Amino acid sequence: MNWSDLETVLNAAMRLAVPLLFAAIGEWIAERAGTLNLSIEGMLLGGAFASMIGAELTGSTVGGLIVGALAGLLIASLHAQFCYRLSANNFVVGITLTILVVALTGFLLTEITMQPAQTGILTIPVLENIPLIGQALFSQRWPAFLVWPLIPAAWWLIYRSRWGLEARAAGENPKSADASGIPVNLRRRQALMIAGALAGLGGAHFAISEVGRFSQEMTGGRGFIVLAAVIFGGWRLKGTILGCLLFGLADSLRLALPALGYTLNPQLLISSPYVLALAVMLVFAGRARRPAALAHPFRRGAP
Amino acid sequence: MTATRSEASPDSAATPPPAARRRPSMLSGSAVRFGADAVIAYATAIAAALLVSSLIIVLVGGSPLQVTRSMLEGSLGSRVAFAETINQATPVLLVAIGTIVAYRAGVFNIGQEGQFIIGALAGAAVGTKVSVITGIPLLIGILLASCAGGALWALLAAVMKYARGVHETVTTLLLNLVAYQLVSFAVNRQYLLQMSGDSGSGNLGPQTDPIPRSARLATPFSDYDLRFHVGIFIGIAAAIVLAMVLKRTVWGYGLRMLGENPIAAHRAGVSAAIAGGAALVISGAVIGLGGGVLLSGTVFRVQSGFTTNLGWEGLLVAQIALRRPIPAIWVSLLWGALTAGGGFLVATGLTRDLVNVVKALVVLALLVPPIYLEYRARRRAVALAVQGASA
Repeated sequence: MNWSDLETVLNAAMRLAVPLLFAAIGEWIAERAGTLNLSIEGMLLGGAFASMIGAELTGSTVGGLIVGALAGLLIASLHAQFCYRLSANNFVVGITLTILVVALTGFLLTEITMQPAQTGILTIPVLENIPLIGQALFSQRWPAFLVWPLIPAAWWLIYRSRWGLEARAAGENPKSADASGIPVNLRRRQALMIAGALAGLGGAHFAISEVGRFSQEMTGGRGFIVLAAVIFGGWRLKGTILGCLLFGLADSLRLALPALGYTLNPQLLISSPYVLALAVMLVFAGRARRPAALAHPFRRGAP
Repeated sequence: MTATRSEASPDSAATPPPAARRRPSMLSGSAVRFGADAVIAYATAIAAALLVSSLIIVLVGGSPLQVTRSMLEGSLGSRVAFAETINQATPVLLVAIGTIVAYRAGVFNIGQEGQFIIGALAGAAVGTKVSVITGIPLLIGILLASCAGGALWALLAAVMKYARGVHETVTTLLLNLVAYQLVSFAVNRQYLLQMSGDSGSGNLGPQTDPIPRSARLATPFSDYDLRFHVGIFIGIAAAIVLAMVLKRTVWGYGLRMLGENPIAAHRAGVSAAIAGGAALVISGAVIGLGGGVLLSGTVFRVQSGFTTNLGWEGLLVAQIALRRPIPAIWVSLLWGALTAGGGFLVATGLTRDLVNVVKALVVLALLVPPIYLEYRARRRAVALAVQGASA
C-alpha cells in the first residue's frame, strides 16, 4: 500500500467514524448513567430520516441537522418514559423502538419523496497539508468538526460536573444514589436524552453530510457498532473514541481494499474489532469498568 | 441482569405486613392473575396501539379498515393463510422459549440473533455436506446440529460470564455481530457452504445449497391445504416441557430461585455457574433449534442476513408472555398472524414495513398493562399495610 492509498483509507475511516463518534459519546453518557441503549440504531436512523425532511422544510442543512437531533431526542424521551417512569425492560423497549423506527422510516419513504441535500466541506488551510492525516482531520464536511469540542465537553460533564457525578452514581449504585438524595430515574432520563440528541445528530450527519440523501435502513446496524465501541472502550471516553476510530478504519478498509487491488477477508476485517473487544474483556475482565447497575431498572423500595 | 431478582423477591428489612408480601412480580410474571381488570388493561393497551396505527395509516391516505381486512384475510382468512400464520409463529416461539429459559434463571441473553443464525448455519452445514445419511436421520442430524450450534454460541458467553465475570449482555450482544460476519463468511466461500457453481454474482446474493428434499420437515396436513410444517409441534412440545421443568422439577426450582433471589439460591446450594451456565447454554440450544426449524421447514437454505429480526422478535414475544412458556405459545401465534397478515398486505400494494410499525406499537402498548397491574396491586398492598398499622 503506497502513501496516497493510505491517505485515502484514513480519510474514509475518519468520515465513517464521525457519525459513530457523535452517537458513541452520547451512548457512553447514557451507559455511565445505567442505560444499555439498544434503541440507538433507531435514533441514528430516525435522525438520518428527520434530517432530510428538516433540510427540505427549512431549506438549510443546519435546519436538517437540528431536526435530526430533535428526532433522536424524541426517540430517547420515549425510551426514557418507558424505562425510567414505567420501569419497563430496557432491552425490550430499545429493540422495539429500533424496529418501530426502521419500519416507520421505510414505510414513510414509500409515501414521500425527498430532495437530496448536502452540507459543504470545510477545509482548514495549512493544516490540511499535513501529510497522511491532514485530509482526514482538517478537510471534512463542516458538521464533523463539531465532534472535537464535544469530546472535552462530554468528559467534563461526566467526570467534573455535579450532574455527571450524580449520573454516574445512578449507573453504579442507584440505591445509594437514591439514599443520598439523587433523583436516579431523572438523571437516567436526562442522560438518555443527551444520548438521543447526539445519536440523532450523528445520524443526521451521516445522511446529510456524508451520503447526501436518505435510503431505507441506511444506518445498517451502525447503532450496534456504537454499542460495541463503548464496550470496546471499557466504558471510558478515550477507549470509546478509539473504538469508533478502529471501527471506522475497519469499515473503510473493507470498502477501499478491493478498489485498491488488495484482497483481504472482509468478514474477518469487520468482525475483528468485535473479537478484539471480546478478547480484551476476557483478558482484563478483572478490571472491567462496566457500570454496575447497567440496564437494571431502579424503583425505590424494590430490593 | 438481576432485574428479575430486584423485582421479585420479598424484601427482608422493611417487610410490609403479609398482605403486601405477596405482591405480584412483573418480571417473573407468575403472580399477575388474569382477572377482569387485567383483561380491561390489556384490551385498552391493544386498542390504543391500533388507534395510533390507524392514525398513521389515515395520515398517509390509507384506510385502516381495509388494512385490517386484508391482514385478517392474510392471517386467518383461509386455510392457506392460517397455515402461513403457524409457519411464521414457529421460529419465534422457539426463540421465545429459549429466551425464557435464560431469563427465568436471571441470565440476560440478548444474543438470540447470533444463536439463531449460527444454529441455522450449523444445520445447513450438516444438511448440505453430510451425504451418508438421508431422509429422517439427516433431518434429525440437521436439528441436532442447529441445537449444538446455538448452544456453542451461548457457551462462549457462559464461559466468559462464569469464568471471567464478563456480563452476558455485553458478550451476547457482541457475539451477534460476530455471528453475522461468520454466516456471511461461510456463504461466500466455495470451499465452505456457498452454493455450488455460484460465483456470488447471482441475483439472490450469496447463499448455501438447499438442504435435500427428503430432510425437510413434513407438512402432514397439506392434503387439506394446511401447508404448515411440523415445527410448530416441536415448539409447543418445548414450551410444555419447559413449563413442566420449571414447575415440577428440583432443577427448575433451582433455576427460578436463581432468577428471583440469587442470594437465597446461593445459600440453598444452587451454583450460579452450573445452573445459570446450563440455562444459558440450553437457551442457546433451543434458539439454535429455532434456526434449524426455520431452515428445514420454510427457507431450506441460509443466506447472509436471512433471519429478518427473528431473534429480536422472539425476545419481544417472551417478554409479552411475561416469561412464561405456555402463554408464549399464544403470543407467538398472534405474532405469526401479524407477520402473515403483513405478507398479505404487500399483495395489496402496501409495504410490509407497515405491519412492523403495528407490531412495534403493539409491543410498546403491551408493556404497560403488567406494570400498571403491579402498580395497582402494590398500592392496594400499601393501603392494607397502612390500615393494619393503624388498627
